[in-house]
Amino acid sequence: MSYKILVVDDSDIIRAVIKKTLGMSGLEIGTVYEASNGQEALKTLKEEWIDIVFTDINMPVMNGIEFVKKLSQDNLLATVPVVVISTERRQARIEELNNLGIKAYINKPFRPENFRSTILNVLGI
Amino acid sequence: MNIQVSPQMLEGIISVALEEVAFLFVQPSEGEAKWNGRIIQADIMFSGPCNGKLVFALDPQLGVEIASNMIGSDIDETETEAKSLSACSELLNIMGGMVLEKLFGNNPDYRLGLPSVKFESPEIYESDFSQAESSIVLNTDDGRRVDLSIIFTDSP
Repeated sequence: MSYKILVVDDSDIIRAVIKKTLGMSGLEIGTVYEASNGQEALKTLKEEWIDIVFTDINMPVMNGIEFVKKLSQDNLLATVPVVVISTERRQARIEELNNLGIKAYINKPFRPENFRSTILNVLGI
Repeated sequence: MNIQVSPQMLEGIISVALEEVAFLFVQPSEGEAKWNGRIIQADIMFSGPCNGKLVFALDPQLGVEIASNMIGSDIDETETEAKSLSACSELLNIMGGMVLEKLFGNNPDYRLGLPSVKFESPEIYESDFSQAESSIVLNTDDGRRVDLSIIFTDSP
């Protein structure tokens, strides 16, 4: 099975790094969609079936926190698993995100095995 | 509050970040490392139990290599400068998160600012470098210089 993934980050460089790292994870990765903020991500999620979302926190227009809140308020999209990728390492912030319903948290820098284990764990494979 | 930052800590952070994000390997510089012309300088402010900034400086050609490695392909010539500055900015942001975790642990009251990055003359950069609480000068295999420094703006 190949996974359809949405990567949300305002940096095209970081989106490229994430795509490259996903490709090295050893998993069968299907289409990787990209969005540069939460608003663009919501639009993509309404148009495409996505298996898992990887999102940054600090972004213009709609940041990662607002994005996760919007998802949780949408009956249809609330079930899409969201993983936050960030440089933010404070436990208080991670707990706040967990309370909002994110499924996992990956610190930057990351390795392919971080994505592999997270995807397998979050999707229950 | 007694906060100590050793050059070894900075070396560990920059080595891991460069290796894992940009597939680039560096080692401590032997002897006096020189710059060849202008450099890329990236700064990021932080606040918390003490305030300061982290400064990342490197040879611009290395910036291009970092960007190219991060993206995973060659960079269009028209985008070389923009992409290398952007890559250095992201790399410093990542190193900033790593440094603050080492400095402040799980203290909930610290913040990392937004990185700023520019081309700078080595002379102007050296005035920042001379104020550093701690710094590390590293070289790539082909002798290109990359520095990471921490400057406290109040006494830790």
